[in-house]
Amino acid sequence: MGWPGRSAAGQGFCSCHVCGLVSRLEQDDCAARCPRCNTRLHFRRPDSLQRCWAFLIAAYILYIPANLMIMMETGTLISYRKDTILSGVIHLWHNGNPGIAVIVFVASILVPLFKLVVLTLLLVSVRRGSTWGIKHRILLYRIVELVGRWSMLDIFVVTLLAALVQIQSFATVRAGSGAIAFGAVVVLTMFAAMEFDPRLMWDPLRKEREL
Amino acid sequence: MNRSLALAVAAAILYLIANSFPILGINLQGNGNAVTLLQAVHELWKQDMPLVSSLTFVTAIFVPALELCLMLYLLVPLNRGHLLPGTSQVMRLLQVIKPWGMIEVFMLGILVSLVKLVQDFKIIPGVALWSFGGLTLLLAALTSSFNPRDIWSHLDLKQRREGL
Repeated sequence: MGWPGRSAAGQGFCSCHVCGLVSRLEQDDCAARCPRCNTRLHFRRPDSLQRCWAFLIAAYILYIPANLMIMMETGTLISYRKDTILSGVIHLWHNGNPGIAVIVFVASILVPLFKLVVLTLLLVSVRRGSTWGIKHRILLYRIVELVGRWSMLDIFVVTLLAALVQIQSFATVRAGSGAIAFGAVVVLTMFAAMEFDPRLMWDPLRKEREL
Repeated sequence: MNRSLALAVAAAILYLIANSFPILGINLQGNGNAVTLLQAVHELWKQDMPLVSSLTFVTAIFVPALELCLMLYLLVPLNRGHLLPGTSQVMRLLQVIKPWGMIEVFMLGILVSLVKLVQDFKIIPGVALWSFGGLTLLLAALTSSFNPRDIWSHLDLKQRREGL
């Protein structure tokens, strides 16, 4: 892989993560602030890995109730059903629109799982100082950042349906407690992705070069 | 930046319309119901779902509104060539809240709800349904036309002028 010169961090330059201004910074200066926007400057996000792990583990734990508990209860004159995320998708596939079922499946099942797995992979690889497949790992991180928000889809659907379908004795929809856990998983994985500092992935490469 | 200002103003107007009218109405044998976004959030709150309700409130109502207000705070004075105090804090706040504004996801949520409802009910699309569609497009256009670097370079100039 081509490696153009020394890194900015190696030469004591640090870019501000708010306004992008590059300033010179002493290696261990914790109180330095950006001259333009007064944001605290640091070469790497402090405690990035620990915080990311914390959010990620919390998300893993809540992922279980999010998928097992009831997301939505639907009652009509002739039927009554309780749906988890998965059973809701299956019901939609058979009785609604398969295309929409695929969208919901991707947003509510694939995306959260993908985020959990990818963030774990990234954290472990940074911990081990791995330089393997760095370009692919950067790509994975970008995808995680990009698609994370779309998991919120199911929360919005539940909100709308539970509020709208309230026709006394004919039809009612209620949100289930699975929705709480699911919402928490989405928020926690978004926080985890924000805490992770992708620049950490490049550091082993720099060390290897400077040796 | 002129284009950003125009888009932000249009988005703000559409935002107000989208939040004041019902999104969808349903009808079943003469009984019906219709809700605005705020009513939906309130209804869910009453059903003992404060967390889910707050999450929707923050991501679909509060953050988009805050985002538009902050952008107008920057863009309106910039149109006349100056910046108001607190610009760098506003820019920072914009960056922090950006991921939590989810109008486009909410729009998809409306469509999925529509598909789920269409079998059992007669659907009456509300004014806000179209407004949210328009708002999604305007916000996407605004995001791509708004260039933070323009603001920062204006701020640089201002600081340099004041420094001299």
